[in-house]
Amino acid sequence: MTPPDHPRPDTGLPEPQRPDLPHDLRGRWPHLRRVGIRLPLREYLRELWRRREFAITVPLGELKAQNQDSALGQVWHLLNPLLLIAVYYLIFGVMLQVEDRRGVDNYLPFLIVGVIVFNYTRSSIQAGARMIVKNRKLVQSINFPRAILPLSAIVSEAIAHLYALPIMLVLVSLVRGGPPPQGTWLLLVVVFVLQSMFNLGISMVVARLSFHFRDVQQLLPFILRLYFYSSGVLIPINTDIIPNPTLVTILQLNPAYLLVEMAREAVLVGPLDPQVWLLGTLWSVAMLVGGFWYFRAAENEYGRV
Amino acid sequence: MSELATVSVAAGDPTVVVDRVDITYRIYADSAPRLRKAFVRDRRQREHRSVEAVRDVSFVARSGEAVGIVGHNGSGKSPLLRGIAGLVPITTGDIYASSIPVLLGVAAALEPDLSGRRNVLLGGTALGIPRAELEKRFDEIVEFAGVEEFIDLPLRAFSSGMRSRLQFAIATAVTPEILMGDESLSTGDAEFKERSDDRIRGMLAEAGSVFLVSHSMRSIRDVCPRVLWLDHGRLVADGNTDEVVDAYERYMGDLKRKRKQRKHPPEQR
Repeated sequence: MTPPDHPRPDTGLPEPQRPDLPHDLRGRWPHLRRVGIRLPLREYLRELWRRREFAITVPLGELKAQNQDSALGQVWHLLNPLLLIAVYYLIFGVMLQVEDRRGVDNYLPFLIVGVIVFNYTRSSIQAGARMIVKNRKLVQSINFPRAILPLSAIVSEAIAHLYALPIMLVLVSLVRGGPPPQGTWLLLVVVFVLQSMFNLGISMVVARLSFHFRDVQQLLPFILRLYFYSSGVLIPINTDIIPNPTLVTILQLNPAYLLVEMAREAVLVGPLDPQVWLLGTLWSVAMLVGGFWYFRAAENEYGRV
Repeated sequence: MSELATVSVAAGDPTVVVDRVDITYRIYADSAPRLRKAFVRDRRQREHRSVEAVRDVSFVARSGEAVGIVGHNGSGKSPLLRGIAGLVPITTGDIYASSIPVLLGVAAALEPDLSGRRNVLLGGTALGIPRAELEKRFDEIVEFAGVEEFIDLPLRAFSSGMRSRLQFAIATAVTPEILMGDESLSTGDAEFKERSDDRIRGMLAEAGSVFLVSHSMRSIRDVCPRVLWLDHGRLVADGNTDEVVDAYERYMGDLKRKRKQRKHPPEQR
């Protein structure tokens, strides 16, 4: 124990004594509950559900406020990925001619689906990373299940993605080599659900990591960039392009690749590969459960200054 | 979390038990925690300082009791409140409560760009009040805050007094069993103060507990019959308000006089 560095002020009153507490405190007063321990899982989920309104209201207000000051306003949410597609098409499609030299058929629809779908995961991770740090004041003032913060970030990104998906489909069917509207497009709903689960899970992991280490937010753009290139968004992942077969297998097992691949199979004419869909589903469930578990393990820490 | 259907606590039963609680913050001296330091084995190399915000504090608050907390700036009043509310982790000791205390801190949940109406819903749901319940009590909340004419304007158009009145009205819409105010109970003009004091007394009559941190000895004397005095994180006095507040005011007055003397020493001839 460190000695007190400040003398006790002369109050002229008796020093307060530690109250006489019964040895069996909870037995004597069963209505008392310990403060500062995590709620059991079921109660936690119930509290989360009770505040669902809060998880939706916050992102709606934020979406509105985000681009309020720019001339094009909300349109930027959609314009952003579209401009990205244009840039990549210019470089990879027109300048490097991947279509002829690498045996990629119909590059433009391939690129459109890849960029739009990957963008949902990218922006979810970025939004999740900020949530705890940004809402420190809120966390220190109100007691609520902290998982509501990453959840509301994902709700916000999901809404934005739901605007982007129809535009993606229209674009895909308009460009050269794109498929006509078809029944498998409905499978996009499944991809959307799985991807949202995955995004929520991974953003909980990133939210906790960036609470412990502020550097994560600085590193994130680079990690995401690397992830973008290794998830087959721009160029397909196969042994024609990457000579090392082990590396190809590893890259093909990565969840973002699987989600992008599922969306491509559903939207473009590709045959459905059951292995891709099974692995994608497993990843999404595992990431959601694991991410939630990891995030909740530090539930009571997030208020620390 | 705030259970809405509160466990009925018999009058005189403890609502909050604080047993030998320490709250120590690790403050990083001039930089945020860095990834590198996680790998540094020698803990001494980490550039943090420990701030012992609360040291070995113990007390029991009983139902129907309003407890004021006084002390100099940085004496640990707010960390103690936040610790009791389960918002910041305590370092050692135990805290028990009959229900999760509600800190009057809805302000952090409110969005200045949304209307007062949306904000009532936002703040209420953040506190865990179900939507249906909120809608039922909506008019009552707005009327209590006295902001009927402004409710559809964005919150940033509210005056600061109106804003804090609305916060108080939201936080007390469903009577919390344990209410805590950090300098923010009894805000607003004299007329509102009377109404909010009434509401607090009503809560106390329903066997709730109130904790109030304030530098205004008047509001402490008005609401709280019992006062805790914190000094550098330690509990130095715990007793009835007249005694403790008198001693505290005497002590603070002495400090002020001493500082003045140091600045302008009496001339010696």
